[in-house]
Amino acid sequence: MIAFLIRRTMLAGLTTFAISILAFLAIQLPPGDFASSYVENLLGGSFFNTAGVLGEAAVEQQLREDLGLDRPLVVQYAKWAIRVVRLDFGVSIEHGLKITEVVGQRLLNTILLAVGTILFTWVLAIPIGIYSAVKHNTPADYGVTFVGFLGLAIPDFLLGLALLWIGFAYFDISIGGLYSTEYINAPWSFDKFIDLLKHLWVPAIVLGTAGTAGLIRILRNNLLDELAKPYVVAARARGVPEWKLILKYPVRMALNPFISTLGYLLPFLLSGSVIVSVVLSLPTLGPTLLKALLGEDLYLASSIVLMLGVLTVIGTLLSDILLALFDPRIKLEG
Amino acid sequence: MTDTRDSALLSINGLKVHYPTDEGVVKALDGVSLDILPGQTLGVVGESGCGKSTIGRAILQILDKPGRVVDGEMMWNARESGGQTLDIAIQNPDGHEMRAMRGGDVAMVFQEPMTSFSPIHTIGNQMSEAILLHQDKTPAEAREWSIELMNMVGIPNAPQRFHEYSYQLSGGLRQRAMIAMAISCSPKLLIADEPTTALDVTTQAQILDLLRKLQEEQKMAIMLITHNLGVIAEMADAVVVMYLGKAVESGPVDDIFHRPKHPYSQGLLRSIPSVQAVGHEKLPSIAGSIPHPFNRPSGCTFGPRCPSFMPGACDASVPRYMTLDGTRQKVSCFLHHPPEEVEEVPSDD
Ligand SMILES: Nc1ncnc2c1ncn2[C@@H]1O[C@H](COP(=O)(O)OP(=O)(O)O)[C@@H](O)[C@H]1O
Ligand SMILES: [Mg+2]
Repeated sequence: MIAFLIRRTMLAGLTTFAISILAFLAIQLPPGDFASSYVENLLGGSFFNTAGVLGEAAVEQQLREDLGLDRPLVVQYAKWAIRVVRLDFGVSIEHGLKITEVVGQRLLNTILLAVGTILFTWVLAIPIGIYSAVKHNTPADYGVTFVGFLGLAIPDFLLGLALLWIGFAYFDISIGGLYSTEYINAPWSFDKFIDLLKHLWVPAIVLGTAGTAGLIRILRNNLLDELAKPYVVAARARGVPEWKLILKYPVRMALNPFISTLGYLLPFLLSGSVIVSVVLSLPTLGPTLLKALLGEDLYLASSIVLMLGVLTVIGTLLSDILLALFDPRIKLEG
Repeated sequence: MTDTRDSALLSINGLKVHYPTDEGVVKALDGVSLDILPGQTLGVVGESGCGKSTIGRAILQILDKPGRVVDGEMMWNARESGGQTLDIAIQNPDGHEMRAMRGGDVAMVFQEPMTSFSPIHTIGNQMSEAILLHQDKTPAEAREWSIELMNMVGIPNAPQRFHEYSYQLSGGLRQRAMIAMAISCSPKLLIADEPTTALDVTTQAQILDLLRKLQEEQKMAIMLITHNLGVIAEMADAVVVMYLGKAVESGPVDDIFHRPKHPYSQGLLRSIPSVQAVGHEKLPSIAGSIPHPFNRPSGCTFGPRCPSFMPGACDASVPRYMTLDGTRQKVSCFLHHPPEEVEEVPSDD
């Protein structure tokens, strides 16, 4: 187990390193460097046309020296990496703010939304999937399958719009966003948390439906495979009650894919949720990333990609460890 | 005949089990009858697909979906232990009686010792589970008893093995663990479904020795399901020969091996080298192949493959399964009972 942990942690470190190089290189991609584009963006207005020529060049030069942009790429990377480790991602050109300020709250929101969606998905998918498999080829199973396909087929944003409209037309409430207006900039408190829960369920449903339907199918099919295995028959033959038997043996086996996909959930939600976030006006990272990319704000974009990459690596590492705790065979295979 | 049924531990009569599938109904058991006597080993033999495993599972009411008992009775004689005779065929599979019986009075050993253990639970976990379900023991006592059982079946380092997973054991040890688990609650009947088929020859012999030893110690009956007549010859007291969901012949092992009456039994016996064949003769095997489950021949189902097939008789009606005068064998064949006997209304004795 210890060897397994060390191996996996080292692998995670290596992956993080690779991601960071990619993120760093992405920053270097556009013509010119950060200094020139920064200056162009911030100071390039007509205001400076007469008096600013000299000042512009000076500012650029100052920035270059600060950031070490005139040094070799390796040194630049090292300097950048040291700053990143200190959580100093630099400044966003678009927003004229420190990147941590732009991203901070939204990253937290994104993670909260991911957790909410996963909880929603599992709470629904696990019991329904088990039921569907145990009762397979009965009307109940067909019903679940049908509703599942509906859930898969309806686009998220359409479901979001429909929920918004229903809330607005019939209940006269606005269910967009993640917080009520009075809490948006308030510091964290119990009331704010409750307020968040009140808003979170809508995007959790919207984002979770397709995943729920998919997981029900995966769980049902895995479980059908497992239920036919000899060890299930053997457990039945020694008198284990049916429900206990199903939960203790095949369900635990069938849950493995749930755990192993845990790590990918964050990037999946991020890229899948941009439209929904726009429709439901969710203050998450999706729209920010989209805007950063459109505006060629590569410092912001690659910082976001880097943070998510690292979180994904951590998520995958955690799910690997969970899986190993769950399934003793994995430790051997490494 | 009536006297064996009265003294039988389990008496199965006219049992029918069907699997209704999309393509049609598989009549896996089509009126099978057999008796298992207390403390004896009954060998159940027949080609693959004849319904051997289905009988074993029907006794525990753990038929695979969509299998169903549609007719017949399975009388479990519990008088010895102070209970009443119980017809397993009409019990609710999820009911209290059946669950108490599974792993309690009747235990099962399977063909695949590897896949018959959960890969994610320790051997000890699964052994203790069986003990805790049927006996009034604490987990610590169950653990102690499991380790004692593992010693009993010849598993070395039992306390350590208790905490291991099935993949850490060899095939032979796994089957020993399976047997230890099966006997943990002192069953009266042990159903062993091809217990040695997946093992190499040496291990096979060891497992059979173990079963014999345990039977002597525990005084339990064994229903030994196999397609291997060599195993039957070595182990069984009595034999039932099955063909396509029916018993076609039964009797004491010596009588069946030396004086088989049914052409199918005769064919089976000729096809094994160790029992009768001399030298290196080519093994004769039974002509033809097993009919498709949905397409059973009319009359005697063995007819199309039978060397003594009698047109007009064998394909017209089904021969009765009855004791042959002057023997202890039951046979279902018109060579031994002329078809006239069948004209009578089959009595429901
Ligand atoms: N779950 C099932 N569904 C449909 N048919 C089955 C099922 N299990 C067994 N059968 C059929 O029942 C017959 C008897 O099978 P089985 O009892 O396993 O035979 P044996 O153990 O003698 O090889 C075979 O024709 C087999 O195809
Ligand atoms: Mg079988």
